[in-house]
Amino acid sequence: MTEIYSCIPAIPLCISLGAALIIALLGERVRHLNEGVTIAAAGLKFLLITLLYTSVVGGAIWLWTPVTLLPGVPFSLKIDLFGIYFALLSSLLWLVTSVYSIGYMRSLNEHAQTRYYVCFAICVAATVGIAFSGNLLTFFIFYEILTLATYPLVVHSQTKEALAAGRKYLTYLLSGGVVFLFAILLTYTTTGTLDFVNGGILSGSGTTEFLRILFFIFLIGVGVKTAIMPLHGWLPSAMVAPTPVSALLHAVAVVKAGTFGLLRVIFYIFGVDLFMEIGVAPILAVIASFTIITASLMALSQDNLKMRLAYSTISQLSYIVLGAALLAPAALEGGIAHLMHQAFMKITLFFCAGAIFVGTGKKLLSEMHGMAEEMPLTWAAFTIGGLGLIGIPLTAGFITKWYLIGGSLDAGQPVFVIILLTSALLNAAYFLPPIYHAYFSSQEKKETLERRVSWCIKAPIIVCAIIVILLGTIPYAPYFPLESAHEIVRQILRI
Amino acid sequence: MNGMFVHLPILIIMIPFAAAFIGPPIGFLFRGCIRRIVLIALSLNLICSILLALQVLSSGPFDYYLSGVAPPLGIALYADYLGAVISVLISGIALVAVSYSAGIIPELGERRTIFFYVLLLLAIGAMQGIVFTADIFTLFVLFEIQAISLYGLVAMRGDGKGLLAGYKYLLIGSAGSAMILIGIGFLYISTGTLNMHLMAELLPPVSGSYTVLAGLALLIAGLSTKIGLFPLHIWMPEAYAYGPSIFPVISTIALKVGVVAIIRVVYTIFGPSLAIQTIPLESTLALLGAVAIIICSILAIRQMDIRKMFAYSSGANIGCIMLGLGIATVPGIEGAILHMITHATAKAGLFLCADAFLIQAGIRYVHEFKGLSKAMPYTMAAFSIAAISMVGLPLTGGFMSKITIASAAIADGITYYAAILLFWTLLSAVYFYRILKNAYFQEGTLSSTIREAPVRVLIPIFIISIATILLGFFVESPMALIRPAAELLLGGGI
Amino acid sequence: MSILDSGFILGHYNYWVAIILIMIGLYTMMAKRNLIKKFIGLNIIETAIFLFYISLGDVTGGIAPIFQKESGETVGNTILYANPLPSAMMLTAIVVALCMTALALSFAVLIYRQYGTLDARKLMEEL
Repeated sequence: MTEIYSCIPAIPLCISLGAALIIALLGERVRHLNEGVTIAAAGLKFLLITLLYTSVVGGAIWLWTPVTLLPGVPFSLKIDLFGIYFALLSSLLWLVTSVYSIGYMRSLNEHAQTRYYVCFAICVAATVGIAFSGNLLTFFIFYEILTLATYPLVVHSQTKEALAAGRKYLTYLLSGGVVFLFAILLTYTTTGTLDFVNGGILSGSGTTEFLRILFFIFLIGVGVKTAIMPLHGWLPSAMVAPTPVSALLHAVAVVKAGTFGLLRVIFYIFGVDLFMEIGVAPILAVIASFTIITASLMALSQDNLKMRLAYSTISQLSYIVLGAALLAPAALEGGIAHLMHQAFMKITLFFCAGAIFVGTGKKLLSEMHGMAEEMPLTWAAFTIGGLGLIGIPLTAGFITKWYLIGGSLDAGQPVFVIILLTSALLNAAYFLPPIYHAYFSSQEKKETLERRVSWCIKAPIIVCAIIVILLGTIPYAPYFPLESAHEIVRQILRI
Repeated sequence: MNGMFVHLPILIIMIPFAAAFIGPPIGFLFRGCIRRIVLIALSLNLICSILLALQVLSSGPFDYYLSGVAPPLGIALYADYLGAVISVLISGIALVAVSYSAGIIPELGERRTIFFYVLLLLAIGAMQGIVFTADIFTLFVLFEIQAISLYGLVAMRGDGKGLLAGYKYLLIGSAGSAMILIGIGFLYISTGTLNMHLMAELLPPVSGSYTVLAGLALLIAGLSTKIGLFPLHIWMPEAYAYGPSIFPVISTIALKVGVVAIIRVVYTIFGPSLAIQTIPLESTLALLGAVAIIICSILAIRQMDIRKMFAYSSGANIGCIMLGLGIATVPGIEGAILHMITHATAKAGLFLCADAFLIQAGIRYVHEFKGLSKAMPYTMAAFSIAAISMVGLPLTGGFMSKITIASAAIADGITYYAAILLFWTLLSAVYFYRILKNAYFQEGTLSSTIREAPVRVLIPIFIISIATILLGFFVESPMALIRPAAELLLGGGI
Repeated sequence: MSILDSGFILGHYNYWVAIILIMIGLYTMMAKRNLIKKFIGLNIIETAIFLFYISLGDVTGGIAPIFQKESGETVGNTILYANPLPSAMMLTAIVVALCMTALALSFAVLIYRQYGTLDARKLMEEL
């Protein structure tokens, strides 16, 4: 492994921030140019990150520490495999979502589009920053930027409901941030460093009691973004945002940033050995299982499609947490691969929800009976995504669930197999009825589409659905998530 | 040491005073040229401050004896790291504030503008003196010069509310001055000297006596009125609300100067070991600070007039600085000094923007902000940056100083104070959230005649915003001065 | 030395006088509603401080430092002079206090012109 000191890690960040700045300066008058800038920046960034990905897979580690923030804690950007893995996810999905956003925002003729694109670009920059953070303080800085930059997107419609949701969102996430910062400072004062080191920095720096408490403070801090129950309240409310925002940020970037942070804290601050030693893994597994089941049950009762998807997200995120808590290589591999697989499935579903809203203006599942006739493509994609989340073979979801089940058997805890299977059943219970109704129920009165759904909306849906199938059929292809996940787990567990 | 550099401390003090005396005659002779005199004087002052800071940084602190007579007979100035860094802060913020304000301030008129600038210069000169003086009676006299100028500035507009606010400030401030004077008397009678460093040498044998303890208590109580430490903050809301346009900015740095005086009393005269022996610093200063943080923040949340809101917010920030000082470790004092800088910068930005809102749109209440981001996008952006720094969110100076103090508190074992500091983030987020939400996400009923502030006004505002952001990253450059300052103060202060 | 010891109390009588005067001044500042009377309270405090300082400068048997050798007591070869520094300091402080008084009274005059009253309670409602 070679460490390369260079300012390269800052470039992807600067691309997004530069795009935000240009869009902000251009303003509302040249809307088409703004869209062009977004797409160009997203494409450029994806290209760059792909290049970096190949170099990191080849064994390179990029590092850049321009200034010192606290004694012993620089502002540090570091690209390791886990980081670039997450950055790749966010930049690829930014590209897809940018195209989708353009279609969506144009079709609905939304207001304040400049603000929308600016905040979107800042959010993506923050996500990449989170991925590239070399220490906890840098991580926290980008984590808070993400919180702040998402707020304008949540309250985009500026209705009373949206503002109330925004307030809830800020209350949850800022409180979580404060708790997180508290944990970071506790770590800093005990160890004097905050670097992400494989194997952890905390070992031997306090009593087991202290470390346990510290872990739970971390869990509360990061858990808000990960939407671990009972800290999930903001996520369903945040669904008032425009659908592309819900798709990229509340199914992928923001919540995955939380999950990513949790994994970073567990494996790079505590370290596997210490994490096992202080015995918090079983508790974490129980919390995750509780979230998986409860969120699925809550999803059942939602009639609003986006709300149902939101609860499904809460449930799915805890799969990743469960994978980490089980500490078996296969489970961890499944969890980390699920980070990527779930993102594609969930974004497909959200894109479909948005397409339905654009096409027909409908949000409630009970109004979507027989709709597959009018929107065959969208519903085909929806079916693929839904089946994927249930875990039907040949879709992305099957692979990761298979790994998770295998991992829990390896760990000698078959009870979690039951949890995973129950959850799969519940997933089926909330995804299959809408699909069934869409295809086989007849509509009360025939409706035509309100608006034409443009190709800008359809193309991303198709791309994502195809990726879901690909991930499920040829999961071991080179550069696919599973390969990287395997390598990451090998590094983390040092096997 | 270069001959010229030796005289820098007295130059820094005398430049504003001299300009204050030549200001009025020239100002009355040539219309509208007073502002130029002030700008030149303050620029010179800033250059001298920076030179002094570099000098102190390279060759360490040095004494300057007025008329060449050494203490105990003469009066000494002492240019140390703390003085140098706060001096740069004073001249910098004052220069930005003056370059923001107009040649003739509209609400004052031409004649009173001249007096306004004269009082401002006197206040700046006094502040520079306070941070450098090593003589405690000189400290008192300079405080009085500063106070008289500030009382005058508050009442400058000459309307009823301004006068009342000024009178309230005057009564409370004078009572504080009286306490400072009597406290100085107690210390003087116990040690027989007025020089801070000699006092520090002579104090230990008598440190247990009631006289010394009462002197310390009176000094801290008196200085607390000057810095508006809760519950002596009551003059601030009215003074900030009804003073003329850039008064709050000047007052913000005056508060910091008061804190410097407290540092001098606690750490230079008493020294950390003696101070901790005689008074449990952690449980008094830090407790006062924590109480101020919580109560002033709650008062700020209840307030709808933004200037009063920011006044309470200043009270909370002073609490934060006192908390840092109360921790009495190197990181704690570093954090406190850094917070003085970041808070002064952010608060100056807030008030400059608030003034721009008042002048351009007549806005001073939270609910009037609806839709303002469209009418005044640039000012609002600068305002948001300052607000983010005040809340203490990343990428701004406020974040860095807050986590420095909080981590010092944790390292010192008083974790609950760190928790209060971090919880304070949420409290201050509440009141800034209301303003920003109204400005950005609510459609306004503002009249369409509101224009963005002119470029002349925007430039200083942007300078302050950029400084706020830079402080969030390049915190090491002020730290180069702050770190030795804290070490020197904790090393006995001599 | 105990704080209740009679020697301590009597030996520090200048302190007690100053403290009593300051308390009277503080009471006046808080209890009186008239703005000018409030300031008179402050003046009482200041006067108490001046007296206190001047009493600090006293040396038993000492004379003012401007007198010649023969008029004062001597201890050995040294003349006992009263400490002149507190008096000098008080000269400055008196000037400062005078400035404050002038400023406060001019404020009071202007406030009276604006509101026609100097009643603090009524005036504070205006703020």
